[in-house]
Amino acid sequence: MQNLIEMTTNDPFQRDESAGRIAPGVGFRTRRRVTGGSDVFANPPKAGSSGLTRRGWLEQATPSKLGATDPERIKGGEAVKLTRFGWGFLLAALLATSGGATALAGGPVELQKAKGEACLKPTDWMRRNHMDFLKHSREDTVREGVRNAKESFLNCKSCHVSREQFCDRCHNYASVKPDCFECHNYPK
Amino acid sequence: MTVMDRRKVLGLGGALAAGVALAPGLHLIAAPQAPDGASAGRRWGMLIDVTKCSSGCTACIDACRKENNVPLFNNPQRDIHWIRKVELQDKAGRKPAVSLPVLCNHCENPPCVHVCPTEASFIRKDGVVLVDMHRCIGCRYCMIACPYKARSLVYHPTSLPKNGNPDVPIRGKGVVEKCTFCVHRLDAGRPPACVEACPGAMLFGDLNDPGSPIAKRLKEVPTQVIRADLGLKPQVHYQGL
Repeated sequence: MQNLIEMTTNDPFQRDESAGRIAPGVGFRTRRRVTGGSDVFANPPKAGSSGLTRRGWLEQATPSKLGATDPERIKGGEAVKLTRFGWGFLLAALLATSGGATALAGGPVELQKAKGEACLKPTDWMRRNHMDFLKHSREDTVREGVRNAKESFLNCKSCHVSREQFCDRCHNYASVKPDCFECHNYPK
Repeated sequence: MTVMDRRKVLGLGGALAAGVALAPGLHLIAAPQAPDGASAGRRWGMLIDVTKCSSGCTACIDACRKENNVPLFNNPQRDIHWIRKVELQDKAGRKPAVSLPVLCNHCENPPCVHVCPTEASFIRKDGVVLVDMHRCIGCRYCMIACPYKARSLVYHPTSLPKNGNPDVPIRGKGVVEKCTFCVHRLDAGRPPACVEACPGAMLFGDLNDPGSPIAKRLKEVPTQVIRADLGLKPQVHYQGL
């Protein structure tokens, strides 16, 4: 989490995946500050792991809540103090809201299992970058008339059959509100 | 020897072209597009025979509404029309009134595209004028610019009707929508829904293909476009106007 990376990208498919999550932006120049290795989905908490690891994950997962977004504060000891103070409270809140150890054991959110055998890309990649896939293919479809691309929105439905059980669960957890479903039809 | 080879090659090419032209004979329009998208060699157009269009028939409008989930809000000022019927009467009143469907004319020089500040309105390679709903900000410049009044703003939130078509996304509140020539059907090798539903007044096809029925008919019969004086080169032609 300490290694902050400045990244400029034009093409979402040509980037360093080890650099962590990058904001979507097809066709637009995006310049975002991203935190390396702080991907909550890539590093879910493991049951039975040491307290140190767990704390590490919590620190990474909730930097804004703990006021640890400023790299200078992180480098100094202030953020650490804050995290220590907030850690107990957060853990208690998490246990109370998500059913405790069971939720932690299965990762942050339990998603519906996909019907198909394999996705277009590895799961880790899809978790972070599926929105870029969709944005890219939407440009191609609407403006160029390329239909039935493999990465088309329509193709997702064949494996991830339920929007509520798959898409919405994770979107709710991550507190993102994509407006795809306001117009596009996807089975509930 | 070289000449013979060249002839052979040309002959083969001709045979191949004939095969391609005849193979999709069952369809009104040519084969579905290649996976690389809309072809710049095509120019989709429509010919409407006004003499065959009866004033009471709304088959095209109904088919369009059903196919594209075009909503009605029970408010004439805000209802959305991709295609509408217009009654025309000459000023002297000598000719009988004619009823004709008016839709987006998919102009070659579309003023709606020129005024769009976000490039949401655009012309596809095959001449279809479209709105990219992801970019539209609902400023309505295009509605003012369009001389055919073919565009409508979505004033109210919409939802997919019970018997709606799930393949066509509905449009959110605050974007401008209009006829798309049913691009999703064109890309699948099918004619627009209105043409399919019309009992014989509408003809649709590739204007660039001299062998297509529409191109042949345009050569044979006198046709008109609406407001030809504006120089927009509309691609919806009318016969018997």
